[in-house]
Amino acid sequence: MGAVVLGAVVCASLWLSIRLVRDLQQAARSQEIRAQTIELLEQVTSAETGQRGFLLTGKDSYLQSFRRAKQALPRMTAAIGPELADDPDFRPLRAAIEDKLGELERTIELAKAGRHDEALAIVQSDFGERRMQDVRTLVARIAERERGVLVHDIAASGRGAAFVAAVDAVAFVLLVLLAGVIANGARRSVRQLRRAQEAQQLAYTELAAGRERLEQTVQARTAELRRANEEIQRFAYIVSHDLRAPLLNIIGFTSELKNATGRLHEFVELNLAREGGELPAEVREACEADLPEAIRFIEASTAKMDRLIRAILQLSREGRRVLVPERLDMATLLDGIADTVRHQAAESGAELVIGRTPPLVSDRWAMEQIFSNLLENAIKYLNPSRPGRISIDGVREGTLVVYSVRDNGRGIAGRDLERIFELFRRAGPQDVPGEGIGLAHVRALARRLGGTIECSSELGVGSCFSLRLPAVPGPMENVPG
Amino acid sequence: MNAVPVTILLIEDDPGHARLIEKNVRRAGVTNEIRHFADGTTALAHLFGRGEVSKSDPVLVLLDLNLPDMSGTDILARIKEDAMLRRTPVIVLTTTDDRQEVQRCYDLGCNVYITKPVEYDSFTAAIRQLGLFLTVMQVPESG
Repeated sequence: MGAVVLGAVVCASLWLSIRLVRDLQQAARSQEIRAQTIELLEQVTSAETGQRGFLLTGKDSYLQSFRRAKQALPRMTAAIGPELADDPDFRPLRAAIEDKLGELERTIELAKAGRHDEALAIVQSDFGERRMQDVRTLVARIAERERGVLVHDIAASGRGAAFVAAVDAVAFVLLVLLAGVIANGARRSVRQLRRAQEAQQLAYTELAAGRERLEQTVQARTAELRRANEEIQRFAYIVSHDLRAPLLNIIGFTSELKNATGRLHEFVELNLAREGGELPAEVREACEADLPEAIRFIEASTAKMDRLIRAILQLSREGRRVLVPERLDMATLLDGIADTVRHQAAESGAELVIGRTPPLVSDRWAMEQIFSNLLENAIKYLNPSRPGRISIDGVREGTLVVYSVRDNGRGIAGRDLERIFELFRRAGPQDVPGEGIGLAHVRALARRLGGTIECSSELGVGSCFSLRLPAVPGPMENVPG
Repeated sequence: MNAVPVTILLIEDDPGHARLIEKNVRRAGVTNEIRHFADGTTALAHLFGRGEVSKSDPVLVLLDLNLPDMSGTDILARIKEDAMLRRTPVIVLTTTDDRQEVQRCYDLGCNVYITKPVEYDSFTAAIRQLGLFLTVMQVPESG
């Protein structure tokens, strides 16, 4: 807005300046015309002076100024003619000058021819004198008029100059105002900028503080979780350890009971054989069926309980194992694991294929545990009605490495896909031995390595276990001690 | 054979385990006196409370690691630190087969480490072998 006003003012100033220059040029021209008109009079006067001198003395040298004037005058009138075309006095002036020159010429011609009297008579007729007077009057009037024009033009140019000055002053004021506005605006935007910066600074500080708090919270939570985890590990250890002590008694004394029963039975049979007679049916049943059956069930249950406790103990111990990440040559590692199960695979007629093996940084023992569990499961749960095919393939996905163990075994029902990772849980027909520990162990390890393990499967078609691990892990979750 | 009969100190809080161990030791033909302590305090009181003379009486310690009042490894350490008792054979009997714990017991000077396996037969076999071992063992004169 300010710039538009300023631009208009500058244009006006320019236009006025051009006009001022034109006015001044006109004034200069008027001055020139006036000078040239007065020059006409001087030439005419000079010509007359020459004529008078010649007439008095008869000396030809006086005619020089006459000849000069006679030669110059038509040129001079022609020069100012266009300028004074509108002047009412110019035409009469030119006529008067011509008349005067004609009169002078004639008297000079007569004097040259010796006719002095006739020449004198013309002079005395006062015709020349009157024309001379006309020339003076006309020149004076033209000069006066041109002076008026000059004065007018100078006044106009003076006004123009004043106007230009005024416009320039206005422009200056506007400029100053504009500068003020700009400076003010600049100051304001600087202030706003500073305020924004301060606000930003404040936001940063708050953000940093928030981050700090968050960090502290995360650390506190992590410490809590670690403590909780440690507690669970210790708990599992103590529980399993302390559960084993009474179990040992049950197993031990059941064994004693079994031995004692056996001895008793032997003794009774021996006595009966020696002394004859028949054992009452219910006593025989108790000795031969009830007691052994009860003992068998107790033994089966305690054996099972022992396996479970041992599994918990093992998981708790492995949970406390320190994991050490190292760069693993997965091809070698997987070949090693495959060799340990290849015998089993060959027995069930299964084919084991290892595909791509992108390297990763992880704990060697944990990886061996994970893959041997997955491979053993794959072999264990093959479909006996078709030749087994088990493949391992790895692929890098961004910062992750994904390893898949795929089989064409009996598959897992959709509702069991999560359940199989739970401790002591198994899926499908329970026709192969197992405690439901392997996959729980695998999942716990995958989590500790900073990864995940998932299963996709179709019942009767096959399963695929996908292990996702960071190619280069963060700190491993190691329980101290 | 040593003229002074070896006394077996059984330090075991679980009476069932104690009974099973005793039975199996006896079945192996060991007739030595067996003194049973159900906690670490009374066991230590007995070991260290005896007079200097009788302290040199040959004993063999069957030690359980999980005691209610102290850890069996503490008792093991006390025995192995004592100038008079340090030659006393100590057989650790425990339900744990934790490698670190086993190693620690050997570091402390335990002579034999037997886990109490839940497969009862192998346990009794181990105890009977231990009993046979005890019948032929000569406890060195201390001092």
